[in-house]
Amino acid sequence: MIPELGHFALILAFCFAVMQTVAGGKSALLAAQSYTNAIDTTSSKAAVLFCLAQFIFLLISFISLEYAFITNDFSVVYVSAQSHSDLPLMYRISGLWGGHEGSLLLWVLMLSGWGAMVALRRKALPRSTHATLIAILGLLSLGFLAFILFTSNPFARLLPIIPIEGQDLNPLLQDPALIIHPPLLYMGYVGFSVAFACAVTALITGRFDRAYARWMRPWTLMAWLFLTLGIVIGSWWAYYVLGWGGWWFWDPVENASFMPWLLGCALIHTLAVVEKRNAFKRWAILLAMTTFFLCLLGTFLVRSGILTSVHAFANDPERGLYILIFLAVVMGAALVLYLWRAPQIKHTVGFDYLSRENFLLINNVLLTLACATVFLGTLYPLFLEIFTQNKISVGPPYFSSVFVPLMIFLFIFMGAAPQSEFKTTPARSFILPLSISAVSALVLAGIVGFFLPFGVMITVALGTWIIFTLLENLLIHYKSLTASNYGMVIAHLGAAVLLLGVGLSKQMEIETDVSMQVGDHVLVGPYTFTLTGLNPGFGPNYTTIIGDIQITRKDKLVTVLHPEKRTYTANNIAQSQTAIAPGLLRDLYVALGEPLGKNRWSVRVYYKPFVRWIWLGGLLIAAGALCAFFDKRYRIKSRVQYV
Amino acid sequence: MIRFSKKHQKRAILIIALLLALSSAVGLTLYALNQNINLFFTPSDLVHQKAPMGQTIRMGGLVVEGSVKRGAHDLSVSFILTDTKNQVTVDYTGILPDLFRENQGIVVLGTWQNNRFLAQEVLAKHDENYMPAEVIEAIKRSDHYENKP
Amino acid sequence: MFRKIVWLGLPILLFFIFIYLLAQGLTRTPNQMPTALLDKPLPEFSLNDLFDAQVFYDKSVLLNEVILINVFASWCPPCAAEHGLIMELAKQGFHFYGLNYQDERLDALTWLNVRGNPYEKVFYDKLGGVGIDWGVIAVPETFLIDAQGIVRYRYIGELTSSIWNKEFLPRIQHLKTGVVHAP
Repeated sequence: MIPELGHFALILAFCFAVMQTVAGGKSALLAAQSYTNAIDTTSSKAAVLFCLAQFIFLLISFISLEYAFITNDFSVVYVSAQSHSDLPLMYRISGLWGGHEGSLLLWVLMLSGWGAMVALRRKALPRSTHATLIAILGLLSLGFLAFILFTSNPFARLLPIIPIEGQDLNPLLQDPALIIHPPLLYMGYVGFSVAFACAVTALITGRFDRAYARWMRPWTLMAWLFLTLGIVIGSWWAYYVLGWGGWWFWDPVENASFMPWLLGCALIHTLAVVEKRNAFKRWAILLAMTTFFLCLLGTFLVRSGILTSVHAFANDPERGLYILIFLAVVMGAALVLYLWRAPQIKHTVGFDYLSRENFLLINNVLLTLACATVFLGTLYPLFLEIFTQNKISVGPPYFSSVFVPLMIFLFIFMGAAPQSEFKTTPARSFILPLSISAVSALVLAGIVGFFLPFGVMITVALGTWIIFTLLENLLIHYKSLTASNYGMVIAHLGAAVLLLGVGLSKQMEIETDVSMQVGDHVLVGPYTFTLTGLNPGFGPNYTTIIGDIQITRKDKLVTVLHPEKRTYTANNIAQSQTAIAPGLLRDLYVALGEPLGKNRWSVRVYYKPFVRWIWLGGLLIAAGALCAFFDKRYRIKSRVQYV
Repeated sequence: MIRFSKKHQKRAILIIALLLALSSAVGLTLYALNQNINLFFTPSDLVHQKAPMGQTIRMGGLVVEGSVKRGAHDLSVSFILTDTKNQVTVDYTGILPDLFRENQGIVVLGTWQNNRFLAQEVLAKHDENYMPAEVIEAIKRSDHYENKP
Repeated sequence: MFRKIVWLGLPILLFFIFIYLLAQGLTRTPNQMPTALLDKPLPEFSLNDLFDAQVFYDKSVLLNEVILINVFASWCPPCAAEHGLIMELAKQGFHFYGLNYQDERLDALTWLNVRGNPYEKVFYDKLGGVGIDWGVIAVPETFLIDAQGIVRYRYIGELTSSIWNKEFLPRIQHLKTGVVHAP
């Protein structure tokens, strides 16, 4: 009964999306025809109400599916494929977004949630602009709701035979981090739909001024914040779950989320120029559109299974085709609109070489290039195969060899940019503080260079360069800093920490795979790892072998780690549970490999200095975005007056 | 002689700088891409000497039952991959992925030397129910080959 | 004017070429691949019954009619998903045989007990050896075999009613009524 209710609510939500689009569109059209700002208030209010109704019915639908998961209603196909009655409640709840249909439902729920937020923030925008926005968001919802209803209904029943047991969730997905990783990522993807709708609205109305950019910024920041958190947690999950000690693999699915992140980052910076200087407007619109395009493309790549990836969970060309058509229609229309309308949006402001505009331009060029290289590396194998039938893969060395130089440039400019001013920067106030930072960073790096390799020296030089310039920036401007400025400082600090984490851990880590039996020991860096025991055990839905590994340094006990090798009973899949001794300066990482016979096991024993800084940096970047989000100037309640 | 206004001059310099940066970036990128492409081959390709020796390539196939042999004290392991027509012996040192099983489709990355495949990496899919697409491809392609003793 | 057309047309053209390429990518799905066995007789096999390890079967046990052999395993979610459809089709009178692939006997028996058994016979291929002879590469798979024991079609992946109606039904009707092409 409840699943049918959910299905019915989904259909109602679809109807409300149609009505939202029609009402929003009607009110926007009427506003465009009358030359005043007068507007058909009935339809604009109705559009808002429909938008809220759509969200509420999707919420009902979502809760119904969640109910089916919690109560183990295996008559629902999707539940029986994703869940199992032995699963702890937490994983039954998160099992909802473990597969295609459920994650799509979560996706539209979030889309309508963002839509509802936009609908409620009605006062800050001219009514016609707001109505257009609502109509476009309704249109996007419509597409996704149709996709769910026609190709991937999560409420379909398995009749006539109802299984008494489900198929269980893939054990790799049974992890706390994976409960929140997909929702965060989807929040980010979907959040950029607001930026996209804003861009399209600007093209339709022909108005893109500073106030509009200011309105657009917090939405973009929030979407990017979610995407950042999603990627950080995904990387953290890969690090401790996959048991290879890696945290980023340049896998197509990872790249799919990284590309919109890079462009989203460029967009945030460009919107600052639009808001402050009324420049770069067309570029901002193009970026907003492309970012959302990459979000949709990411969904397409993941859902269609078109790319060979370790993540590709299901291959369904029919679903892929739907997303592709949706993508072609939405983005094709947006592109045509852009080419037709963008020339109307003009900006004519000049700026000097040494100006923040120029620095932000460089930032944009570098980030866009970075995104383009990821794009090329991800899709090149696919296109080559279509043309030549050759199957190739692009190895991670490609990505590192193009990314490292781009990032070095990016970090050099990142240190200098905050010191610059809009329009023009007096050379005196620019060169002196920067030289002090540069010299201190180089001296520090030089000292490091005595003891450690060249690459480490470069990393330290770049990282400290950014940190020093940020500190100077704080010292010089501490009286006049807004939340937005603090956000920038925190996020850039995060970038520096991330850089140090990546650079130092990559160059100083020690990874050894060894064959061990109880009593054996192995030396890794300054630490001695001794295997002291191997014991069987069991959990709610698995059996396991637990290793005891004692770690000593200079004959002093550091810690005892317990890596596991689990075998899940429902589907007989083996999975390693890594054991990590975390630390701010180093991680000690142990994972059981496989039994080699004669009581020997293969064991991964890794020493990873500064690796934690990678996620710490990512979290700081997110914290910076959050801080900027709370800037007071985004909270203006009154309607902006337009002429 | 054409004289540009100051504004135009500035813009021209900007555009030239951008183009220079862009083209060098594109050049470097394509070079890096070219260096890091791993072509895909099947066991039959290798047996018929269709694959380059010594170059890093990928190969996909099914792990032949009973062919997994381990070294006594180290992590060396060898196993045979088949595309149902031809077999290739793979040597590897390291830890095999959790989803490595006999009769399971896997992909190896490494070099083809002296009629053995030296693997640097062994990849199995996260999801045990599906074959890697490359392995399906390998078996599909093997139809063009005859068995070679 | 010409310049304008180029500036406007080029991005749109590029965009749609890109979409076209992605669509091309979609068509190279591995689900419907020819098998080496296509239009050839099914190879000989000797496998024991899933329900009784003492009973062995070979090719002669297959009916001299159009039959379907479904490769399944208890550890495979898509198999569970397609099982309801196979039950339904078996009820309609299509002859399904099961090849239980790389499974534990007890697991497979419980699995069939819970979901029902649509198969005329279930062959037990614990080690997957026959699967390799037949070129089984992913579970589930469904083979269509005509009354002469010749493989006519093979589908990899979850059977759905749309796949059944589009790929299997026309072929079965053709085999039952039309002229059978010589291999």
